Amino acid sequence: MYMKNKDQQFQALVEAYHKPLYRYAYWLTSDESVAEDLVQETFMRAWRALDSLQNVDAAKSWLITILRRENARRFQRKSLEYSDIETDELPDNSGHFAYSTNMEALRSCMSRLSEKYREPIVMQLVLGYSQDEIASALEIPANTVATRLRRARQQLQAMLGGDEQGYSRGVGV
Amino acid sequence: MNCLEFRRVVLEEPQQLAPALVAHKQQCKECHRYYVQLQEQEALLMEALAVPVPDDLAAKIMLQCSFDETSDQADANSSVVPLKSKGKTFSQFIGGFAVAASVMLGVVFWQTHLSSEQRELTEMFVQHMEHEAHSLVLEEPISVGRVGFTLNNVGIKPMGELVNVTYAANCIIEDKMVAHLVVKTDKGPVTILLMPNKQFKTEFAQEAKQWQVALTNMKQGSAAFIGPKTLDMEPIQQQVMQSVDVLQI
Ligand SMILES: [Zn+2]
Repeated sequence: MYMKNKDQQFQALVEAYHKPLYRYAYWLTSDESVAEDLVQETFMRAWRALDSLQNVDAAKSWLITILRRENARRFQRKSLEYSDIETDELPDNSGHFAYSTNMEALRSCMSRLSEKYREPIVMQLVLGYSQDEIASALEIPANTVATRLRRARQQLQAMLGGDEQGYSRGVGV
Repeated sequence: MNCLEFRRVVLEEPQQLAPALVAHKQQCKECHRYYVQLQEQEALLMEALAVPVPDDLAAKIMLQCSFDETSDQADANSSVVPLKSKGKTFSQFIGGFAVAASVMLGVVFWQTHLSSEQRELTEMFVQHMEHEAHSLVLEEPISVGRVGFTLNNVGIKPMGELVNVTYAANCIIEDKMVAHLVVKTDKGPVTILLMPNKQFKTEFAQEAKQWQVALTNMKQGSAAFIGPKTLDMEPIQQQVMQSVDVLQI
């Protein structure tokens, strides 16, 4: 991949990645304006350090790394803890996960997932990361990633009452 | 593989089925039904995760970075932001963004000069396809939701007419985001690269190795088709070109 100059290189990065980065940031923070700030801050840092980026193909994981670091910084400033939510404490929306579920309900369930389950599934579905890429970004073993991805889906199903439909029956983990 | 194992593994990554999973699914009616349901749920989940992105975010980022550079230039002693000197300053470069903050990033015209460049493009498309070689061996059609999600990411309206899509992903080709689809045919897989952010000057058809590559202009941007030499790609090309609807830019 060749680049004519820094400006074009940067513009291309912004164009290619600002949407997935924003969505990723949104699901990390559950807050639109914080997500926007995070993405802007991420690109600002990327812009300043662009000269050190050797391989443009690596840009995506590089940007994700910056964004995660910025988010961690935010947590240091305002120590806010996500709690693990036990699925049986959650209200039963008693509908299928499928077509009777509206987007709002699904989004609200997503934001109530604990961060350790939410982040891998967002990386998988928003950033298009493979399980190995998630493992290296989060610095956890690949089999832990697999478990979390599975549990994330199971918890979403449980929250939305999918269990009653036999959806995840027999898939005890 | 038994049913329990199938259901465990498939929950980890419903988009990609390993051969053992495909084999089990073909034999087991129950798991097949389970999988179809899971696919529908995945499509909904994808849609839920794709929260709307503020229209002016890209422009804001560009603007903010232009200010960063301006302040850096104003303070020559600043050692915080090491920037190499360039011919044209970044703030000049993005001047247009300051005027219309919500403007979308533009279509890039890519100069192509006759056959040598066509060969280069052909090679690049084939290389890109081979880089994602796993996409060529998938058998199972993916959900309409998954395809729609991929298209939506590059501002293309989902194409209901397109059947037997076995792979859909957003990739970067020459620093532009594209939609990468694979359609299964009886003569082999056809790779379709929809590039609404990229306009090539000339349309062409070329052959490389066992592949034929065709580049066509869309109303906005271009589309590349890579398929087996033995296949008549015309029908698929026509089908895609008729149904593709670029929403943005
Ligand atoms: Zn089974």
